[in-house]
Amino acid sequence: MPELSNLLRQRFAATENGAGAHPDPDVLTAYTEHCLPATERQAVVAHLSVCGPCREVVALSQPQIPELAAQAVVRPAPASVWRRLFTPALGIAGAVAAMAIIAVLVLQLPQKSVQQSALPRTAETQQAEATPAASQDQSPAIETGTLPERPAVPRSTSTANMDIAVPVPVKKAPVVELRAEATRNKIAAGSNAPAPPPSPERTLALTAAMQKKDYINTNFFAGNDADNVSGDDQRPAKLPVAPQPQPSSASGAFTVTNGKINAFAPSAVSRSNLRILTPNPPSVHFGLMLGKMATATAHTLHLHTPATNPALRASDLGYSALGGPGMFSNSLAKSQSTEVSAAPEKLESGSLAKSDALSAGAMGGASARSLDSASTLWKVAGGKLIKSAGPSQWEDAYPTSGFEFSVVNSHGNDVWAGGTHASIIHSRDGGLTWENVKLGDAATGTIVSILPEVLNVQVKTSDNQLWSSTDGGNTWTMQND
Amino acid sequence: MSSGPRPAEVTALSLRVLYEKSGGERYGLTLQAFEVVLEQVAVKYVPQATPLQKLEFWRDLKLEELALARACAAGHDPAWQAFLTRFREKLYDIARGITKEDSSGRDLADSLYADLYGTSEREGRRVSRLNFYMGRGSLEGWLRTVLAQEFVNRYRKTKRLVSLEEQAEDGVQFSAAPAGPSSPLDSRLSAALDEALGQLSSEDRLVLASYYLDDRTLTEIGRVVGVHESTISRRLEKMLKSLRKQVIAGLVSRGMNRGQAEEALEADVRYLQVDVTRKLQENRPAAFQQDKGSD
Repeated sequence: MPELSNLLRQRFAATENGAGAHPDPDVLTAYTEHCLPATERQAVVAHLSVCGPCREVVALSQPQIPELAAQAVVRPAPASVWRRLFTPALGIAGAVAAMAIIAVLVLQLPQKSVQQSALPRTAETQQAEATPAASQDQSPAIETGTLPERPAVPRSTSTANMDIAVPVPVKKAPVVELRAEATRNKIAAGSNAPAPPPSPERTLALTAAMQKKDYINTNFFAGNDADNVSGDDQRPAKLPVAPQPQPSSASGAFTVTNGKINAFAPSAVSRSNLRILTPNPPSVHFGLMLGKMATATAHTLHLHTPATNPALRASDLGYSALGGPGMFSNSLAKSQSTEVSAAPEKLESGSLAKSDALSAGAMGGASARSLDSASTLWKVAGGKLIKSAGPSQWEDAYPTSGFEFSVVNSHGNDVWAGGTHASIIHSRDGGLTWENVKLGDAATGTIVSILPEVLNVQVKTSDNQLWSSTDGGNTWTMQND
Repeated sequence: MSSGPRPAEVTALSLRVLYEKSGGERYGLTLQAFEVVLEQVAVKYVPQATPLQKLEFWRDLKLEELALARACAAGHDPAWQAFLTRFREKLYDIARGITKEDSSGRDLADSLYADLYGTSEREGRRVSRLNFYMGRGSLEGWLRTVLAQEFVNRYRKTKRLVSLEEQAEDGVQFSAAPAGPSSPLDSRLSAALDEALGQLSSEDRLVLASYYLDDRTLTEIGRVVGVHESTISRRLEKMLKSLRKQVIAGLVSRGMNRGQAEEALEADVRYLQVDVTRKLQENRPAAFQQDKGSD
């Protein structure tokens, strides 16, 4: 409003000097130092508003601003172009892109290595099957940390795309024989007898290759809660525990806690003590994101395998865990149920380290179902209990309920779901069969939380009732009665 | 039954407490002289006050600096030593800060120093300017104000003696035209503007005058008023909007329609100067006009 500004100047100039007596220096000083009473201050302000000289005096008598303070208001130095590029949003985007690239690389490297080592392993398997006595325990050769055939495979383009079922080249036969012989020697000498050492140069190259592979996969699975392979066995004392990468073989033992691999050590894994664990999806956002990426990549890799899925053997499970062609998927586990030994119906990560789950025989249908249900995701949507039936596919898990579900909690195959009217259903087999759980006549409200811990189960309702059971849900007592 | 102390005793006791608080004794100022000073201050600022009100008023004074100033004015050497130690250099710094130049600042400070010491005599005694210090603000602030007053007075005196050449160097080409009879439009606009300005508070008017008339910066105005410069900025913007509305309303109430009022406000007073300049150009001899055209 320049026009008004000029008018104001004109009018102020015309009305100036209409004030009476000027305040003395004492009063002006007191005004400047803000120690005048309010009434006196108002009078001084009224005078100053019409007296130019007094305004000038007051303005001049203000304490000087120190030069440093005056210079403190400086313009910020212009940021460089590179610095401007590193905005938080760009940094986050860059970090996500880098993680995606790393995830793809991590999943691609084991695939190539497994494909390259597919020939000798197949030969080894065939040889082992041909000698039933040796096949009872293949772990001694693995325990030595030597898979001599794996680093020996040249990176030829002809074998890079081969799947597990590719016939064994003749030139790899001696290696297999060497390993089978080592196995037989160990069986003959007893379980503690050391296996004959492989040739030094071969072992060196093999160790380097396996270190690389195992290291990558250890990090990957530990960080993403992806499908795990677990074997129950004692850990060799000389070998350090996870998360340090170990030169273990593909069939090394994994100790699983809270759905994560926290130990990765070579051990004597047999078909009788090999277990498969599919943990719950990770709760951490970043882990979930990376887990989804890994699942998607694994699914892609699985599509590259031949239509006739390769045999799923105990020795292959380790490779599956490493992200190779034998990587687990629901369809793979189901289709290969006749070759995987039976596992207990209840498959829990907590009990995984304690039990000898698998036998050397084929895994039965129940185990396949367990494997299937263990990887099933559960959730409540729209008052219905639904479970995952495939990638991005959900199906109604309990369509006949007469109430609306509000909460679900799965713990391995143990699935608890609750809803309105204090209704609870419980499945011990991953949702194949259900049983109604009766809390008590006094139970009211909607189930808001179910916390199962083996036999101890705690349930909370929307009416602030806290029910607990110490026998797996057979009897219940209300805690806040 | 014993009655309480009388008011005179209370006042005497309080005055002694104030005297001890001022430290006048170490400057050579007696209690009686200090009481006289206090009474002088009270007569000037709170002449109608009761003894109790006077005591309250005296408590708020800068008693230590008041005693020092008055002891200096009385010519006590310890007081002068203390004054020179504390304020001599500050006086020069303040003067330099006001004049923005070293030599003139030193000249200003020296002249005030002479007044403070007292170059004139009355009844055989030196008359010091420190006798006018009443202790309402700090002695340093008072010295700053006195220096600023001296500087403004000097400027106003010397301004009358500025030569035409100096005025030309300052960019003053023509003296201001004498204010002629204002047109009816001008009178209505001035009346509406005066009416709007009259509704402002004193502080708002001080802010407007400092900004538009004195060309003070927002920081300077903020320090005078005692608020932050951003507050001044917001207040200015708000006041201008309010003033514009009120002036337009005042013009409408004086017989203008809204369009005429808007047009009257948009008539920039600077255009008047342009008109004057054009008028002068038109009145110049033809030869000068040709020269101007050929330039």
